[in-house]
Amino acid sequence: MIKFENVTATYREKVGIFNLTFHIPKGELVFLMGPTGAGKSTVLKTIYRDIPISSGNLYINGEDVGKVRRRHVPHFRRKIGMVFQDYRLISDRTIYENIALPLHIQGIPKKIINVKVHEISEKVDLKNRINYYPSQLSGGEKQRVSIARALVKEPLVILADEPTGNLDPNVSDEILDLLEIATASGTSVLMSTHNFPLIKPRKKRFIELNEGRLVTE
Amino acid sequence: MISKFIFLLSESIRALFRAKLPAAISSVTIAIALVIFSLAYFSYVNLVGYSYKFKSKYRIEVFFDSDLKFKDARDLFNTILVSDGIEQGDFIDKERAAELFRSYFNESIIDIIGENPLPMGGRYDINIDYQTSKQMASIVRNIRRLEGVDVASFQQGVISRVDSIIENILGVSMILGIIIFVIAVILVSNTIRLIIHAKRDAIETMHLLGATNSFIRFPFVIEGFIQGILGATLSLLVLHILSSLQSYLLEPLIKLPLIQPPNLIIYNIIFGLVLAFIGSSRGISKYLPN
Repeated sequence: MIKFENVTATYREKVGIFNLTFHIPKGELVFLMGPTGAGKSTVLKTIYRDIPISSGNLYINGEDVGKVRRRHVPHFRRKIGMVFQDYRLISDRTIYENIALPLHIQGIPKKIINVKVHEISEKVDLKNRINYYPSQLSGGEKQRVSIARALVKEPLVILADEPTGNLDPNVSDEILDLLEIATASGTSVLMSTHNFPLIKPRKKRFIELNEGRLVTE
Repeated sequence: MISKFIFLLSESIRALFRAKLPAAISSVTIAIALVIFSLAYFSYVNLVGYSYKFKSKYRIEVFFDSDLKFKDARDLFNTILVSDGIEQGDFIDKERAAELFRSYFNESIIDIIGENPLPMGGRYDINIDYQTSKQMASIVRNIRRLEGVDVASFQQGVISRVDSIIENILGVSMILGIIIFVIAVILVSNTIRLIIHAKRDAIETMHLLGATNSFIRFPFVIEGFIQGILGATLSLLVLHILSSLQSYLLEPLIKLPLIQPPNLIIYNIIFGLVLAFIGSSRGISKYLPN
């Protein structure tokens, strides 16, 4: 599903990722490990085309990311679900509106949106919070909304950038459970974290980076 | 596509209610700009209107040779009447000349010198396109070349002075109008930009979710249009109040009926929309990737 072949992507001189090669198959949850500045976020930004690829090839479901034209980047991003450490919810919209936004962007009819949003909010246990605003939710609930927003469009890939960074251990475990559930429907999940104790019990594959280079896979 | 359009349209309207204060600030800014612009337009229309009224009194006076016979004088009058730049004319025979003398000096010329030596002639009104000192001088030169014309003249000194005053005022008005427009655009677009700046995180999130630039821009532009219409309505309300005050306070003082500019409502709406469109387009462009 996600295939890196000697990918180098830099956003400043000597800062970025260098000659990365790895493969994440369909429906797998893989952790991206490493200290701050190791290049974890750069890997994710390269996948969603926020940083251009300098050399090598990167494929998502067979599509060469480097060849996606600039004007097609928004359409390309619709295939990817994103979860961020700071949630990135729109503060003046309700939970329902936040979850529905990616579907509106895709131009899906309102009736279908309504069904999908209710389904997904039940899945992430937020059905009774659907008319709340983000400021009325706890950190864990906000992250569940963020995951619901990523899942609702049934993406090929979910990229989670330190999604448990602001959460306590119990809530972090719940978030990992939700991401693991997402893989059951064939979605590949790549989650960056530097919290090794959190992921250790999961016994999942992890990719370790340091200074933009692959350490272990 | 239709569901996307309906969503964006409803987003634009809901955005106004979500952020009532910024929307009000933006509408008031547009209204202030439109009131200033309307007052400048009002002054311009009155200036041009009164300058035309004044210029309509521009005349050329022609005196024929005193030995010219009546029929020849009439023919000469008609020849001048059909020349370029002449709008209409008034033939003055010897009797009419004597009447005019009496009206000016309150005495009869025959009583003073025992006969009427006043020559025949004509008074000509000038076509609106020729009412400048330069063009009138050219018409007078042509008339002077005609056989039987003794004197042809107009008040060149006064008209030259008036022409230059009107030209200067119109030039300054034009520059002021452009300055006001530029200031209005900057004022409105900076206000809208500040409002959009507060939404920059939402814009960035939408980008990450796969929204195109036009998807993000559309609600802001529609929101801008609504603010433009609200601003124009507010401006027209203020202008209506000013107009009522002016008819009570100003007109009795200056004793001149002021000219009401035509299509002021339409211009207000158009300028309101233009200001809002430029403002929101400039405002949002800063936050959209190229």
